Amino acid sequence: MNVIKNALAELYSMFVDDPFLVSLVLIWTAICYLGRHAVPSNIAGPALFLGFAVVLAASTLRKARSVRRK
Amino acid sequence: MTWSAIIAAFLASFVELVEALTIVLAAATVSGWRAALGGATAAAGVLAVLIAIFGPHLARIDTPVFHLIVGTLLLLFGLRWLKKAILRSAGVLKMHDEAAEFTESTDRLRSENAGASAAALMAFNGVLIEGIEVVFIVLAVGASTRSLWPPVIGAAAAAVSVILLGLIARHPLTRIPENALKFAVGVLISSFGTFWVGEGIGIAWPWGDYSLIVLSISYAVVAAIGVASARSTVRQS
Repeated sequence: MNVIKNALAELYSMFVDDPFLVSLVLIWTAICYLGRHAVPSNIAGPALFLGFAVVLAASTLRKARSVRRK
Repeated sequence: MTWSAIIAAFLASFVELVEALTIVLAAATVSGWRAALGGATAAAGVLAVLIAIFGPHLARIDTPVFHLIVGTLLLLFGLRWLKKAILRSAGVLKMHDEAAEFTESTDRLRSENAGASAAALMAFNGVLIEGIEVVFIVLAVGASTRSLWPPVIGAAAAAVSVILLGLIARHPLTRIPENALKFAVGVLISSFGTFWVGEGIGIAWPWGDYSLIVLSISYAVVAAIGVASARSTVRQS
């Protein structure tokens, strides 16, 4: 039973290690989905990437600041 | 895309299997090779069965919703690895230490006066837990390339490499530049994820599959800036 519990916990933590990062990724994906027709197709891809890059940077610096405070 | 799938699966599997090898070596050191290899082989069998059951079906699904789901999972997985690699490179988090992991595992088995069955279970658990990430990479990358073979070849090559290195070294592979590998995997998997999220929501990428290369370079640049920023954030303390 413990083996299954550990495997499921590992599976969950593979994606939801940082709820802040997960929320922002999902929000940005939803925004891009809803606005996909409003943006010219040649900038939609770069915009999608830029959003995720900002999410990565924000999540990383947030963690660095929290470690600094400790 | 085939080569990037093979490389991504090889690097990700290599990192995970190095960690699994440490646990198997710890079990073998305390209770002998028979128990450790028994546990490891059983776990490898379970993982292979998972890939054989789900892989062929997932590689055949080709709908935007499926691309979006697979892309999002790949992205979350890749960004998590990339973030950890950035924080470790910046000195915010400690580097993963295979030697310390090995000592901790052998100490735990010895303190519990563990027999062969406990060592076999530890090896089974270790390979299964580390291998779940390998299974995910193989299935998700296989689904996104619409062929299971490239990631399976990458993962199998990683398994053979780690087993050979383990047989030669007979101790944890401490000299492997694990964080650099995690960095590369994070960049590649995040690029795959972003590409497939884009495909899922109907974005036409400017250069088709070659956009993956542009995405990888862009993520590597963002990650390098992230290392410098995180380092300066910590130094301000």
